[in-house]
Amino acid sequence: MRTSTIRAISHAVPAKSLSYEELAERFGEKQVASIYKMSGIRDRRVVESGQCASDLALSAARRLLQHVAVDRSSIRLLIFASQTPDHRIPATACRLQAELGLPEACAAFDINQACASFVFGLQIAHSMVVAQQTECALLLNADALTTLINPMDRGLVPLHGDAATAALVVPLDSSGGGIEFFEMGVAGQDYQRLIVPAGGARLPASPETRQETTDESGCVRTLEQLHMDGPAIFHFALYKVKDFLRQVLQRRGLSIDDFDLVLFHQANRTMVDLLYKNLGVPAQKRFYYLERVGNSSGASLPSLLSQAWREGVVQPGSRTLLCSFGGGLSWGAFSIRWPEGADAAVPGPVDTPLASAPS
Amino acid sequence: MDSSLKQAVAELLNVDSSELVSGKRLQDIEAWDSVNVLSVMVLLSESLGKEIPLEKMTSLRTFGDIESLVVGSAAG
Repeated sequence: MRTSTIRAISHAVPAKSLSYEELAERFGEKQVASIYKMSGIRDRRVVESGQCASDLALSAARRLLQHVAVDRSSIRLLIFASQTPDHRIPATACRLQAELGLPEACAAFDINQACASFVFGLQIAHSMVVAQQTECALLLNADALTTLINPMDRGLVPLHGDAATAALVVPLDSSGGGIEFFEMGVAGQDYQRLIVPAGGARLPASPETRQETTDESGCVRTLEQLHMDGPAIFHFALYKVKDFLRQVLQRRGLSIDDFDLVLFHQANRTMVDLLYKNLGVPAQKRFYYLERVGNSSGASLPSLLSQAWREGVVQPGSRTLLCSFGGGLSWGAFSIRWPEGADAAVPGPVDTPLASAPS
Repeated sequence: MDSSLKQAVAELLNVDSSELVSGKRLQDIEAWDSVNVLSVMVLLSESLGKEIPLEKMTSLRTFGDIESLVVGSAAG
């Protein structure tokens, strides 16, 4: 049976770091220590003025295409999954198609699905590869949420970083491994739990929406910036995502024992650890990448996978369960068995300075 | 409430457990912020081995509300 696999993946983070010490100066040691204790995020990478999520995606994609022997004319699908596109019109994927030297026959479009976007985007890429609409697909996940967070939002600034990934999806006969299943879900009634209220068509940007307000916990923001209902999101991850994964495993007659590695969206360490614990995932099947880079939203899960690949944690023949979840509220999971003879990790520095941004 | 659970809540909120009387207003505890709401949610959930409904967590006003939550959950 025809399936697909991730042949290679790379990631890029901004060169600029926002350290624990800098945050302690901005918000006070106590606040930062409290969030660090919960989140496990010590430093985060943040874009500089003039650097966009798409610049990081371009850097990750160029490095991947430089190191993986693939005919660019065989890539007939480019997806840019992001909540921070370059423009409202057109889709950022269009410019990236040209920048990457992909053929005009390569369909290029954007999707916007918050932290779960890797699973949603990969499902689309997989489906088009399996349907033989394209030989290969390039999936770019890129978010620069720090551009949507008020610098004085003491709840969100310590948690978030920016990043991008590029994944090359290719066909494979399922006897050799590859993607085994996808499952996704959305609880649309909770769409306001993680939201930028203004700036779209529903509530256009105006002088009023640019007014800063301070909530009861001391977080500063405008209606054009990110609002997160922390307790609701945490509750969702702790219970809904756990139940979802249990049901997925049960439906498919699988258990955690069937996987060599389990990767979760890197929202915060406490949340990830509770999911691991509640699902009975032993320490040797866990992997983290949030302490140095922060929560990079849609780029978080694929960055984690890319880093695991670089560190030799992903081995040919092994099996990985991946799950991400977030705004929407939305969630998704997939399973992949890494084929024998899989490509080596994409080498090179992941740090991306402003200077590498396209003009 | 079980004294060890009460002690754990006190440590989380950085207060002496003797301060945690039913009428104690949580907003008067310096450490009661959005992070510690989550921490208490995790602690209670782990301790009781069951889900704490979101509406109950976000409507906590006094330590007595936490006690009621624990007693109610244990009974349920």
